[in-house]
Amino acid sequence: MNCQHCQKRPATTHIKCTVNGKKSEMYVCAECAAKHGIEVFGGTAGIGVENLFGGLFAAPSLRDPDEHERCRFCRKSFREIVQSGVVGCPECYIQFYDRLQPSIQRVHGKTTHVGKIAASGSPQMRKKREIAALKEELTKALASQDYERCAVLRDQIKELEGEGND
Amino acid sequence: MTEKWYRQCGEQSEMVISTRIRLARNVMGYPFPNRMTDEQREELKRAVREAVEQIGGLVLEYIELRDCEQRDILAMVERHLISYDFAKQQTGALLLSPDERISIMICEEDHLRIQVLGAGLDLEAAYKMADLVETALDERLHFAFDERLGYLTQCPTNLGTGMRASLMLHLPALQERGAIRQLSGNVSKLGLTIRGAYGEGTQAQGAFYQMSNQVTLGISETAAIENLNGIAQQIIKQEQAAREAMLSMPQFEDRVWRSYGLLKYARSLSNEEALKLLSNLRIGIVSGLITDVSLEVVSALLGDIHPGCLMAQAGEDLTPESRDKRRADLVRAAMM
Repeated sequence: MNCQHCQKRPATTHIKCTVNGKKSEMYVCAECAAKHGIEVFGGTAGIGVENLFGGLFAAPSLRDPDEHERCRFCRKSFREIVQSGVVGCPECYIQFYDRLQPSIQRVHGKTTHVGKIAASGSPQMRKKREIAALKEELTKALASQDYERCAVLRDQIKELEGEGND
Repeated sequence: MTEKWYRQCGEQSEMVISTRIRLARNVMGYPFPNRMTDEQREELKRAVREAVEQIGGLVLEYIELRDCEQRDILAMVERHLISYDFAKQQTGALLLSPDERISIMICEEDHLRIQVLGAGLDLEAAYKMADLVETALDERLHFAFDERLGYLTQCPTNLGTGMRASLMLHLPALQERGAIRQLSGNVSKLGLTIRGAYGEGTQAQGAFYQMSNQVTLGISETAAIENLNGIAQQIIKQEQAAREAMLSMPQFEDRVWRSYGLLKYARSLSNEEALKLLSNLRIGIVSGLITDVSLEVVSALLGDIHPGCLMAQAGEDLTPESRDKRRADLVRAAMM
């Protein structure tokens, strides 16, 4: 079996990764393993969460010919992000979003933020979030047969959804 | 002098020593710390310092790590005010409240690590405070944020809320049963992690464990906190059950009193031994066996007996032998 990373040399190292219960594995050659901070012989030097995160990029489906492409803002290349496991700047996430996204999903299991919204977040995002929260409350109110509250919530949702659609 | 937070006890302090909320944030317009120049780092430190000064009601002392003595830096690591990596770099700065409850690391792995600590189980209040500080800073500094990925962080493992919520738990009975490994496997399936709070290796010194959330994207701050709290309650129940069995063992009472005796009279105590004895004393107090020492005394000692803390307190570097002596002196004085 050839290395799943470089596809050239024979695979000699089997890397199993369990991050938050999500398992991933790959077969790589010693050289590619070393590149991702995993020494085949002689200890565990270099294996940290960051290096392992870099390793998650190494699946063949995620490799791409543009790995030398650099971030417009900080000039870090996609290859360097993969090797270091850390991203260069906020702009990297925007520029390399499609390539980073599968690995992010593997780490977190999800791909969309649902928490606090920064001051720079758009009003639409806030509104969407507000509606979602009201709908959740509505479900709870329905379950507890609090129909008065349901009516109030429905009106609020309708009002919010109606805004800006006129 | 303002009382330090760790000298107090909070909710469920029988098993929960402390709470920590940490928010990772980065300022728009700068690369992440791994791509920053020295000039950018200095500029950012100034900007954060100025922003904090503008926030009414928030008093934080500004500390440049490069101006600190090694022993003072070590003491801050031991009190969980700064991370070990941050201490090693010495290029960052720290903002610290007089009670040490709020700390902000500047230029650690992210531009800002806003941290709030609290005694006992205090997740909601600690988050509320961290949230207030964060909101005020966001207005002035403008944090990097993406609608899909949330707060943008140097390491993708912190994307989303950028929040790490942790509880320090005292689990001597579960540790004695050898149940921690299994527990660790179980909580990891639920997006949490548990590890020893002091020392390296699998056996946590004094059976003090740190449990925190791992997943930060696709889960809200409130849900992550509820999740952590819910699982902590389950673990507390298990520890309680295990302790009842432990209490009925004949050697248990002897162990508690023996530990108390050593703490009261020893002239030299290593850090490891002191943690073990304080752990035993703690169970003795919680179970009602020891009534003349309070949990607050144990909590204060847990914050004061570490090597760096002892040297910082002494104002000079000490040999391991003189540290052990000082530690024993400190413990003895507290047991009076």
